[in-house]
Amino acid sequence: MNIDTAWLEEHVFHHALTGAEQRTLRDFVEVHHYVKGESLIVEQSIVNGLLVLKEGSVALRHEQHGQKVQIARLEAGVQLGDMSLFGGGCASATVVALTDCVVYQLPQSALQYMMQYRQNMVQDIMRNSIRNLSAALRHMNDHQAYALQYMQGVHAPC
Amino acid sequence: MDMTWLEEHIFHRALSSDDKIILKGLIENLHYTKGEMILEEGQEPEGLFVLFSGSVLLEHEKNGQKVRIAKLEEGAQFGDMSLFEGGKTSVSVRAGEACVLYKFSQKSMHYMMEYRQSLSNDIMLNTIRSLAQAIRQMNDTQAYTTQYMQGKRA
Repeated sequence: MNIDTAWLEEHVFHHALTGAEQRTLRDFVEVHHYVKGESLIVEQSIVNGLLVLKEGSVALRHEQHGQKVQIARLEAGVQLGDMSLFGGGCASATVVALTDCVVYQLPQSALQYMMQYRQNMVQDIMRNSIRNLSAALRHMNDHQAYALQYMQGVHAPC
Repeated sequence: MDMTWLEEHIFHRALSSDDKIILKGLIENLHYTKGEMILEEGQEPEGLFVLFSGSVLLEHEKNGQKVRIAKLEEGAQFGDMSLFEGGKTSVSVRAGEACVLYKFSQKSMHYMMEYRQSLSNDIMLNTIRSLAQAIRQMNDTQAYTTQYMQGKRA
């Protein structure tokens, strides 16, 4: 299936790729479709590579004291699986399709190839991971500050 | 500069003697006393800080109040989010006790990205690990506070 390399340039690499780099993506990127309600990633499972949400929206659900709590809603353009891929360990949350979704998946074997032969592309992917994770953490810092104030009785819930 | 410590906490491998010489020229050694401000929320990025010893407190301003959201210990890094993302500093960082920091300035990071990609890749990998660890902890906290605000937890 054809992949939209221009979209990947815009959302992941943030610059124009060479012809050879575009071919690498066409060779390795897999396209997956998920219907509403289907799980893309299950918490505590091993994630095979990096997922980029091309279309649709997903919810992140984290289990706490036996209950699944929705902690975020993510839209097209986000990367998923990078925490366990680069950081090691299992998936920290379950990712469920809130709408029908199209996902580009770069399997771990492809990333290993790229680490050896396409280091610049891996560096771009890592930078994008840092951007994504930083944005998530900024949002969480804000939420936590609000929640702490709420628990101290300073604010009502929003 | 304790190169063995940097190998263990940041690079996660043995560095070549050439890498060590380069790093000695790129890293600044900074000392702060307890309570001293290291970074102010909203300021321009300064570089990447690695906590060699001591502890720091992260404070975030919300509704006009500074709220303490985390305490970081030896081995933690900060300043990386604004450095790689290009935004302003998202929290204030204050020394929780006397601390020693290793600082990679923006200029040093750009040099490594240009001429020492293996070193900058290791730092980026460590940054992802560090952010991932913070997010995993925050997932737990956020799930708890969400349950609390919904009245499911005391």
